[in-house]
Amino acid sequence: MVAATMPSSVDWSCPDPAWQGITCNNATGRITRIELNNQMLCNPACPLDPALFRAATALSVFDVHMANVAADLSTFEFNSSFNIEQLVLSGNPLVVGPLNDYWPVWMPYLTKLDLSGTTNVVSDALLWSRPSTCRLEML
Amino acid sequence: MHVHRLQGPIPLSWTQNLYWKGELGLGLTYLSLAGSGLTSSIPSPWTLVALTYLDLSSNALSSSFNHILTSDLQYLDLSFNGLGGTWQLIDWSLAPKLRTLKLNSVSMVGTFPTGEVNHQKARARGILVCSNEHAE
Repeated sequence: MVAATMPSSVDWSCPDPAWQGITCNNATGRITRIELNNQMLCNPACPLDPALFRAATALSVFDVHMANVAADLSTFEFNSSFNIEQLVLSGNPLVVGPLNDYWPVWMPYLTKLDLSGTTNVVSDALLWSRPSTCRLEML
Repeated sequence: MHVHRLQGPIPLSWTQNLYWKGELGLGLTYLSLAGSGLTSSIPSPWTLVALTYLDLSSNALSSSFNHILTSDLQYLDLSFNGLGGTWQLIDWSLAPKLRTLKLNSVSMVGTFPTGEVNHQKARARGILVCSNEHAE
């Protein structure tokens, strides 16, 4: 557990020695995957710097599901050659929006986007609900 | 940190991008925006046809959802929304690969089309069927 902000001036070079949850391309020496899901990275929640991804051109996976991070996604800066394929920020209620129209342009190779549970408005949505019955039918 | 809630519609541009539609690559296959404060209706036309997993549960989305049924879709969760419409107007044949369907607490009316579901079962391993107790 660390009590600091996620570094904003990341050069995205491979750490030495290797860190758990960080995957590198040894040929290029660049970080390709950050998978820190289900880990209490910071207490209190550590903010992700809006410039975090600016130089992350080799990053394909960024997964901080339930990692207690905070971010205002509307202020994030992305490089035009951002090649991320999987972005998972779910389970972090302090990750906030609004959703940006330009995400598809910034992340053209994205195949997985998970922003579930990024706010606390579920109770409002439940006002729509009515009781229902379900059954699971199997072949 | 001041918290702005993630409220608003799904950006229309998300469904118009050639990359995410799969026309210039693999396309967006997994999209989960559950409990994200989405409001308004689901964009139409819905062109994210590469999706295999779509979870829009626990938002405040309205309108019907027939237009988001796509040929590769395997998992669909629209529970806890303001979705309305009539069961009979849903064309389940548009999503022949659907294996999991979650529609808890939506405001659909009419009876669930069990005949079509049985047709769907011919391809599906299992399907979660939710019907509204207050359906008329």
